[in-house]
Amino acid sequence: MVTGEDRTRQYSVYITDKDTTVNGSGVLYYPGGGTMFVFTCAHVVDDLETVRIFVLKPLDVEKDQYEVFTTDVSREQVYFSPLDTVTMDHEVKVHSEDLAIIEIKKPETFDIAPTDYFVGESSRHNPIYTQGYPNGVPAGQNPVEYLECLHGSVVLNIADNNRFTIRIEENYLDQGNRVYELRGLSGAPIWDGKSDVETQSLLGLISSAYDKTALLSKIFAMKSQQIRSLMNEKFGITIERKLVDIPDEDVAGGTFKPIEFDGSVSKAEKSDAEKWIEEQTAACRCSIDDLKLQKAIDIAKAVICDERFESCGFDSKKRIVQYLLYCYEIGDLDAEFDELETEMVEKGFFKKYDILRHLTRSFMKKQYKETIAVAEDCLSDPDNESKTTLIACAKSFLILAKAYEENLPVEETIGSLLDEHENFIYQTDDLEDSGLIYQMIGYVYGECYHDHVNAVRFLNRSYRIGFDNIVLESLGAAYYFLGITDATREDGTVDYQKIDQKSLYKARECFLIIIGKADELFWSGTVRRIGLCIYNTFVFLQDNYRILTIYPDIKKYITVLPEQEDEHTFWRDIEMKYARIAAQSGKINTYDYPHINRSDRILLETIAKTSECENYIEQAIANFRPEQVKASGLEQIIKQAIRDTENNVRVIDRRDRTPVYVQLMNMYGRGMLLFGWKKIDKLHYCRERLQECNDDELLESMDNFIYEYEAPMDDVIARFRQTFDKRKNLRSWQELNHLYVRHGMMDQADAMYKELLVERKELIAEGPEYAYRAYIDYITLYHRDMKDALQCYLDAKEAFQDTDIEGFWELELMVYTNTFNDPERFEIERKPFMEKGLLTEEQYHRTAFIAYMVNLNEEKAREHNEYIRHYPHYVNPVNNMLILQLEEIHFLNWIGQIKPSFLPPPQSMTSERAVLVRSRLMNESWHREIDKPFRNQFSIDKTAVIDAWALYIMVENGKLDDFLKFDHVYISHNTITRLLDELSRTDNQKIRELLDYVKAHDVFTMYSASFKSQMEVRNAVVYSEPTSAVAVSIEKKCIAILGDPDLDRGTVEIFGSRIVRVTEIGKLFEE
Amino acid sequence: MLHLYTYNAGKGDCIRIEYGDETSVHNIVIDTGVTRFAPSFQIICKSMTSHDLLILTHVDDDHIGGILSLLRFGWKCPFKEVRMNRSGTLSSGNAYLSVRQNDEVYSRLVDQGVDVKPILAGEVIELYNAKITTIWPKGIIADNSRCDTPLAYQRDYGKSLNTLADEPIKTTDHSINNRNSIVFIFEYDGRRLLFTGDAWGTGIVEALKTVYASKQHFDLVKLPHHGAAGNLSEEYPNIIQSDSFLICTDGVMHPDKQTIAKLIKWYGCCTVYSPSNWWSSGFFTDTDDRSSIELVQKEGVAIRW
Repeated sequence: MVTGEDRTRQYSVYITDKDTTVNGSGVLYYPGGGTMFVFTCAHVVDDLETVRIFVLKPLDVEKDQYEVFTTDVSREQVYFSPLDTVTMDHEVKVHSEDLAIIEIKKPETFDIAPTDYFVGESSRHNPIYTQGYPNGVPAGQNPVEYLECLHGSVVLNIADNNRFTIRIEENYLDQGNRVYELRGLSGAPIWDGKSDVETQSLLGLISSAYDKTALLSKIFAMKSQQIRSLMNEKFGITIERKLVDIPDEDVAGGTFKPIEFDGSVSKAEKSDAEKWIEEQTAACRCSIDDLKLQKAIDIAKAVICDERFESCGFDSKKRIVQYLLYCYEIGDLDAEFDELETEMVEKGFFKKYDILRHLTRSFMKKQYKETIAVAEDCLSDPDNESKTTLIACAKSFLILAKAYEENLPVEETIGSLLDEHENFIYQTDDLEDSGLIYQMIGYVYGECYHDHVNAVRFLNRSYRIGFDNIVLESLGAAYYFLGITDATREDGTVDYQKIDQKSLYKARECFLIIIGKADELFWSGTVRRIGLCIYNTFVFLQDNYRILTIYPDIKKYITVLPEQEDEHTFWRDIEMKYARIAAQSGKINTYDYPHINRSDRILLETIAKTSECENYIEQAIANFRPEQVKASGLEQIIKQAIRDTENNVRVIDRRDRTPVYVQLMNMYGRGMLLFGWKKIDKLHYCRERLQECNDDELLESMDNFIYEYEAPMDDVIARFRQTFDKRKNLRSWQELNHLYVRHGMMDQADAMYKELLVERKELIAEGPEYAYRAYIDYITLYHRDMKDALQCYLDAKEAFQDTDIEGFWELELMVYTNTFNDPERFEIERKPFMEKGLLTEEQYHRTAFIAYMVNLNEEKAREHNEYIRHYPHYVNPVNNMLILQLEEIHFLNWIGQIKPSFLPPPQSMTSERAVLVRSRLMNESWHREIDKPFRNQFSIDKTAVIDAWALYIMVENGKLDDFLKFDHVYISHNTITRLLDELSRTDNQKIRELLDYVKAHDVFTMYSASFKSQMEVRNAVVYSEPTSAVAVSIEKKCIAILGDPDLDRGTVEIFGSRIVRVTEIGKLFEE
Repeated sequence: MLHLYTYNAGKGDCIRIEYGDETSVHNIVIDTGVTRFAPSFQIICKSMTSHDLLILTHVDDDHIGGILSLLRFGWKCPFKEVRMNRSGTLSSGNAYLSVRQNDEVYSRLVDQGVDVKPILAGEVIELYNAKITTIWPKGIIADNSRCDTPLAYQRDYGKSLNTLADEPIKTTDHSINNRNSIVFIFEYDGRRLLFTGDAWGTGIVEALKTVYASKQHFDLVKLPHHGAAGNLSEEYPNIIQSDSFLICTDGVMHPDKQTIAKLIKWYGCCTVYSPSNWWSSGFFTDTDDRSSIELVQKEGVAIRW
C-alpha cells in the first residue's frame, strides 16, 4: 500500500553544485509544461554560481524504484524573496526570509506528472514529517538511498512570524550533536502528518537548528505561504492552498486540478530600475497576502516616491499603484484611494479610474448601478478588447450586479457564468483572477440568493486558488450564515437550539486565522465589513472570551451601519449581547451602554443580581458543609434576589423574560433543596409564564425540573434520562448532569463527563473545545479530582484552536494546583484576562496575591493584598467580624498582624510533636537506603526536594545550615502553603524562623512540578503536600527528603525508592 | 620508545601517547571521543598497562562524550590523574549543555577519588621523564553565544588544491568552548609533539609567540578542530615547523580541503595521519596534485618513533 510518505518522497530533491561545495535539500514543484521549480532555503544556494539538482522520478513507488534526473542551473535561475534582508553573523549570511525558488528547464524526455500537493497552514502540535538529504549524497551514489524521512511535530507557531519551530522526535539522532546528523536538511519539505494520502500539504521548509547542536531537537522552518505568493507574483503560477478539515464536497469545482503551465517565463533583459520595482512589487504582494496591510502600503508608497520609479516601465508602475489602491480599498482609506486614483489618472495610468478596483469597490459598497455602469463602460471601450481578465471580470460583475438590480433568478446570473463542472466560463490571464470571480459568486450566492451552501463551496474554491486572504472574511461569514439560517426566525431573532454549530465552528476557524495574522489596519477593515458576523459567531458559540475581546473593536471600528439598520437598534443589540455576558460576573454598570433602554437596564441588573446569587450558591455548596450553608446568610441572599427579580420581571420586555423566569425557578429550587422551602406553587407559576416562549425543549426541561421536587429521586433520574435518551443532545445531557450536581451526586456527574469525552463524542463533535472548557470548569468549581482536569487539559490542548483560551486555562489550572513557578509571568499574563472582563478584579488580585505569597515574596503579596482587603467579605452574624479567606489569614499571620486565638489542633507542627515524629521516622526502614553508590550519585548533583515536616524537623533540631551543603533544595508551593497554614494555627515561631531562612538563602527554590509530572503522582496516589514534593523529585530527577509522618501506603510502595527520611539527611554527606 | 595511537572516535578526538622503556611503559590519553565511542574507549583503557594521565582538552561532547557515557554507567576510571578545566556556568544554549556535561564528568571523577586538576598556560607537568608544557589557555571564559545554525552543509572539496591554497581562509571558528581548549607540548626523548584540541588558530599563534621567540619545530602537530580551516592561521608557517600532522575525524564533516591545501603550500612535502580515510571518496578532484602529501590512515598505532 502506498502511504503519504511514499507519495511525497518524489518531491524531495538533493541540491549541491558541481564541486559539491554545499549539500542541501529542496522540494520539487512541477506545474506542467516545460518548467519545473524547486523551493529551498536561500542559504543553501546563495553562494553558488551553478546549482546542481537531483530530481527523483517515481517508476514504482511501492518497490522504491526511482529514476534520477540531474541538472545544473545557473544563478540567474535562482530567485530570492524580495523581503529578504541579509546580515552577517560571524561571516555567515543570515537571511531574514530564508527562501529561494529555482527555475529548471524540464527536458522533454523526463516525463513526470504535475505536482498535486497543497500549501497548508502550520498549527501548533501538528504532527509533521520531513524528507531530505542529511549529510548529502556521496558522489556517484543513488540519492534515493540517502533520502531520509524524519518525524516530529510543530512546537511553536507564532501567527505573525514567517517561521515556525518543530521538534524532530527520532531518538536515533546523536543527542550530543544533532546538527552533525541533520546538516543537509536545509530546504527539505515539511509535510502535514495529518493529511490523507491523496492531499498532502506542504507546511514549510527546514531552515536551521536551535544553537550549534539542535538542542532539544528543535528545528526552525520557514512557512510556505510566501513561496506561494512569490510563485504567483514572479511566474504567474497558482499553487492551491487548503484549510484544515475542509472536505472536498465543501469545495465547488470538485477535486484538485493542477494548473497547466506552459513554461513560458519572461527572459527579457531588464534594467536595474525594472528589477528593483519588480522586487518591491513582489514584496508588497507578499505583505498583502500575509495580511500586513500597513507594511504593504509603506512599501508601495516608498516605491512611488523613489526617484527610480519614473524610469520604470509603464506596466510595472501601474502594477504597484494598483496594489496600493487595493490596500486603500481593503483598509477603507477612501480619501487616500481617491487622491491616489486622481493623481494616477492625471499621470495616464488610468483613463477615468482603475476599472477593476471600481468594479469591486462599488459592488462591495452595494452601489450596483455604479458597478453596472463601470462594467458596461469597460466592455464598450475597444481599448479593453485584448484585456482578457478585465473583460471577464467586467462581464461577471455586470451579471452579478444585475442579480441585485433586476432581481434575476440564479440560473440567469451565476448560472450563466459557470459550465456544467462549475468552472468559470470566461478566460482569464491566470487562475488567480478566476479566484476573484469565484469569490464574488460565493458572495452573491449567500448575500443575494441566501444559498449559503453554495456560498461556502465557491468561497472555498476561491480560497484554494486565490491569494487574497480577504476571502477568509467572506468564507467565515458564509459559514456563519450557513450556521444560523435554519435557526433564524421571521423576526430576525435566532433560535440558539437550531444553530448548526459545526458551521459556526468553521466560521470561527476562518476568523481566528485573520485575528492571528492581520495587522491593525487590516483588522479594522475586517471589523467594518464583517465585524457583526464575527461577533455573533462567538455570541452563538457562547465563547465569552472572544465576545468580551471583540466588542471593543466593534465599538471602535464600525462607523457605517448596514443598510436599513436603525442605529439605535443596531447598537442596542451589540451592547446587550456584551452586557449580558458582563452581567454574569454579578456586577454591571448599565450606563456603560448608551443605547439600551430602561427595560434593558433592569434586565441586566436582574441578570447581575441573579448571577451574583447563583455564584454565592455555587461557592457555598462547593465549599461549605450543609450546616455552614444554613448559617451563612445565604438564605437571605437568595430571598432578596428573588424579591428583586420578581419586582423587576414585570418591567422587562416580554421577549426577554424567559431567562428571568428560568432563573427564578432555579433560585426557588435551590431554596427548596437547601433550606426546605415549600415553593412548588411558585415553580408552577413561573412555568406558566414560560408557556409563551414556544420552546418545547425548554418547557419539557422545566417540567422535569418541577418533577424533581415532586417525585422520588429514582423516578426523577429516570425521567431526566428518558429525556436525554429521546433528545440525545448536549442540552438534555447537561440537564441530567446538573440534576446530579444539585443533589450532590457528584460521582454520577463525574461519570457522565468521562462518558461524554470518551463514548459520546458525537455530542461534542461540533465544538469539542467548549466541552473541554466546561469539564475543567466543573472540576475546579466543585473540587473534583484535579487529575481529571489536568488530564483533560493535557489531552485537549492540542485541539484548542484558540491559543488565548489555552493560555487562560493553563493559568487557571496553575491556580487550582498551586503551581506558581514564575509568579511575575503569572501576574503579567493573567492581567489581560482581567482587563477583558474574563476575570473579576478580585479574582485577579487574589490569585496574584497567592502566587507571590507561596513564593515568599512579601512585598508583592502585600501589594495585591491591598486590593483584596477592600473587596466585600462575609460577616459573621454572631460577632459581626469579617470572615477572611484562608489565604488572607495565612498572610496576616505570616506578617504578624494577627495571631491565632485558639489552641493548636493535636496534629499540628509543634516542638512536642516534632520529637514524636522524629523518633517514629528513625524506626522506619521502607525508604531508600543511603549506601555508598547512592551517596556517590548524590554527590554529583546535590539536589533534593523537601516537604514541610522535614523542614520543620530541621529547624527544630537547629540544623538549617545543613541545607547549605546542597546545590539546590526545591520546596513545592504546597509545602509553603502548609507551613503558612501551620503558622496561622500555631503561631509557632520556629516556623517563622524557617520561612525567614528559606527566603534568605538562594539554595532554596520554590518550585512545583509541571502538570505532566504531577499526573505521574496523581494517577498513583492522592496528591497532597508531601506527594507534591515527590512530583518535583520525579521531574527534577532528584531525591525527595520527606518528614511527613502520615504518608499513605501507596506513596511508600510506589515512590519509596526515591524518598529519603529527613532523619537520614546526614548520611548523604558522610565521607 | 614513543608511540602515538589514534582512534576513530566519531567526529571527536581520542589520542594515546605510549612511552617509556621495556621496564616501564606509560600512557597519556588525550580526549575520549563522542558518546558512541564509549565502548571502544573502555576497551582501549583495558588494553593499557598503565593509566598515568588523561587530558580532556575542553568541554565539548566530542571530546568528553566517551568518558561521560562510561561514568554514567558506573565505570571506574583507571587514570591516576585527570587534567581538565571547568568553564564558566554563565554559558548559554548549547555551550551551557556542554558545560553541564563537563561538570558532570568532573563531579563523577572527584566522587571516585580520581585526582582531577585544572590546567592552564604556564603549567609544566613532569611525568616519568616526559615533559608536558601547557601553553594555552591563559584563562577560561564563558561561552554566551547562541545562534541559529543553518542546516545546509558547506564543503570545499570541489575546488582544486591550488585554488584553495591561494585563497584566503574565509572562515573563523567562533566557539568559545573551542577557544578554551588546552594546548600543550609533549616532549620525550628528544621528540616534541604539539597537541591543540579544538583551539582557535589565533590562540595557538599567540600561545607559541608568548613562550617562544622563534619558529618551533615539532615532530608532530595535531591540527586543531578536526582539520577545520577556520582554526588555521596564516601565521602557522612562521611559527610552526613540521612535516607530520594529525587530523582526528571520522571524515563526515571534517576536515576542510583548504587545510590540506595550506599544509602543502606552507610545508611542502608532509604526511597527514588520520584514523579515518576521509580522502578516499570525493575529497580530491582528478586534477589535484597530491604528490607532495602522504596520507596515512591508521587506527591504533599510527607513529612509532
